[in-house]
Amino acid sequence: MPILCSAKCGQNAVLKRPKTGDTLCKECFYWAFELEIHSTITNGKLFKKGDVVAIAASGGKDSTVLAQVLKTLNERYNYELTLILLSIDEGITGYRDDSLKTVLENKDEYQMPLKILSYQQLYGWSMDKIVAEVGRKNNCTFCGVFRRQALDRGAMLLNVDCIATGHNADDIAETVLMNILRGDVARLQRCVNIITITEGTIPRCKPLKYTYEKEIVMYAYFKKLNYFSTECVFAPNAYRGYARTFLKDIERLKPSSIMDIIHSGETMCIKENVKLPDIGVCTKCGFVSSQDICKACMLLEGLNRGLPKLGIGKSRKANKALAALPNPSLLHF
Amino acid sequence: MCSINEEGAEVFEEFKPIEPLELKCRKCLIEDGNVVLQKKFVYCKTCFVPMVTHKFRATIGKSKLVNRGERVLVCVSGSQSSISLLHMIWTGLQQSTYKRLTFDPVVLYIDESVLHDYPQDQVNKIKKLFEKYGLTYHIVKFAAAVYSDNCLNEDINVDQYNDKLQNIFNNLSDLTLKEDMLMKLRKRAITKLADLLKCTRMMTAENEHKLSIRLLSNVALGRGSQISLDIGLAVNNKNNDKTSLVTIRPMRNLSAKEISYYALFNKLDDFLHSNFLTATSEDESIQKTTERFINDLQVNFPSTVSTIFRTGEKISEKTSAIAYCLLCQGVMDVDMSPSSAMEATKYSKYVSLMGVKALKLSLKELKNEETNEKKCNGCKCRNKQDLKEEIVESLCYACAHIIQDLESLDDLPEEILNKEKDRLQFKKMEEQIKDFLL
Repeated sequence: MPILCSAKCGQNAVLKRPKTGDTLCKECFYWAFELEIHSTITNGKLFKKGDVVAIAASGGKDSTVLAQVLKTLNERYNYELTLILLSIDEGITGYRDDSLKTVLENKDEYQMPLKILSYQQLYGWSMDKIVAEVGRKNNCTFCGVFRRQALDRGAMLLNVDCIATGHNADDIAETVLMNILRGDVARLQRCVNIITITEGTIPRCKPLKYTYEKEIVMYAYFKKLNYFSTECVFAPNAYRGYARTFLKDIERLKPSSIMDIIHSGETMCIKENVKLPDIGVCTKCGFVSSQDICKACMLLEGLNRGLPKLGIGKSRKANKALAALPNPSLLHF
Repeated sequence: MCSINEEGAEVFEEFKPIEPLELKCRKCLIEDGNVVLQKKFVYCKTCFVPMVTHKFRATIGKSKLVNRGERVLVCVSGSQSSISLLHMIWTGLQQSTYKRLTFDPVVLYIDESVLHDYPQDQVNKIKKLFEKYGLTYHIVKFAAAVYSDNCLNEDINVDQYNDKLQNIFNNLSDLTLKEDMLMKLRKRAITKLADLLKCTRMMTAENEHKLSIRLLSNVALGRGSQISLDIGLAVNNKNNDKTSLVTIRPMRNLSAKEISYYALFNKLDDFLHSNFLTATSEDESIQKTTERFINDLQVNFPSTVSTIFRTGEKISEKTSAIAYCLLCQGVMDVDMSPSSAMEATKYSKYVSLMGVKALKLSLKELKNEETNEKKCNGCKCRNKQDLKEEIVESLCYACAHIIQDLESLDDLPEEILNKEKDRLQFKKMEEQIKDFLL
């Protein structure tokens, strides 16, 4: 006997929601999925009327679905937003070049302007070159640090009010676990914020914060969205992988675990006497940093001086190493 | 960021494997080593035991919470940790004047044989052990401690309570929730006994390893706000006056390995101590999955346990809390802003049931509609559902999950049900006079 849609629309259900266990038909699932994101956006006050929003687009499922949903909601509920796609080209052959093709297709399909910034342009180094220099280990540090800043730079160039990223509920829960495992209390507090505002940078928000990864895949599958899904060729992402597997294991036991972990993250308080890093600006490039010289500048300096390991590990050690080098005044950025 | 840890692991790999048999104890430099800690520190037996004892004494000392002559409830479960705790306390009491522990220990063993199979003579063996130490002790049946105020009286009839307790756990289908419930009821029982025995401090024997596992499974269960309550060194229950009960965990700076060797060198036998997870597979409960996860990580990244533990130390309870959970006595964490995981989950449930209609109706209207439906067929089972919904209102996020899974509320301790009745009564009163309150 076919199962009926739990929204009582009279249709037969075609799926079971991973988040709540309810059975839904295709149409009701679209509604539920989109309405939830709409409610996340309005409750979290993510956008103001007339905002220009950059969607951080990688061509992967999360950002593709984000672009599609934001476009739909923007038209349906009159957000009056101007949406722009912003992509970063890390310069990874066999990975990013392919995924950027998807972004280009999205651009035509959704009729949104697209801006692509490359590491080569910004830093003078593509990831391919960096890996040739650094080796297979630790290269994710470069990629991650550079991308964060590249997005900020791109957003400033485009003069947008806000960057929307495709982080989903699974990503957030995973980050909560990671920060506990790494003992990073400052980030533990920050990582569950739906919108991060730091002085001097453009706010970032995560409209998919409460959306399960499985449902994103489901949405893309039923809508036949075109997205790119290949692991980065350089990253069988070691440590994060453990947290990811663990999360999948407990999600299987109790699907609400992902939301439970986010709830834990939202309700945790940090003791008052714990010293947290001060947020300042990098003396070299002027971007936000907790150190005198930001990580990106440190890594770049290492690359340019032929000491690729310089910025990896503790900042204190790197500072020492830097001071010991001849002609520290030669630092050029 | 992961790569930083890889770097750390690299350093460990570079470390040359040492042959402990050839190395002398790092403390006395005379004796041959018997134990290797953290893969590099070698100790002989004679130096190891005082080192462990010192860590334990330092933890109590630093807390500055145990006063001379104070009655301290020492909770012994029979596990290696708790047997070692008992031994350390007893040794401390035998010391010469200036080193002697000066508090007044009251040893407690809660007999949980109603829930798990224990060897028949286990209680007798434990009794014998307690008598050997010559400390004041009490052995209490778990069910009696949960349900009766008269539980210190050994003659009371516990059969009816046993049934009730078994019913609760039989009514919970999920292993994760079963274990969570056991922990909460155990804590209730201990708190109540501490009160009856006029103890103002209690000591439990969790070690670093166990506390890290508890921390991470707490996060996975949605108990993030209660972490300091469950793993902290000294946890005050609510009111900050001198007579309130403070939980102290003096073994929290010791690793499982240190305790095992302490027990081995002192020839301490431990007893069978089960819970619902004993002999279950790792992929049946969140707690066990967490345990496996931490154990696996610990092999490759030896600092895992201590990092998790230190992170936990930096997390505190909300200071502005006014309400506490009826079941676990933790801080209430359900009063969240509209933009939160909790509200988002509620909304998900709501849109899945309403479909397109969700747009027009608000959440409140849906609830009204539901209550109207209920009134139409007001049979008894509906009333039960109502009671459940009401009691859930005074529970924290994670405890609400337990109660929702529980089929019947009849077997909950009367204390909880009575408190809930009082709360409802009060709410009704408030409702009546609310227009006149300024």
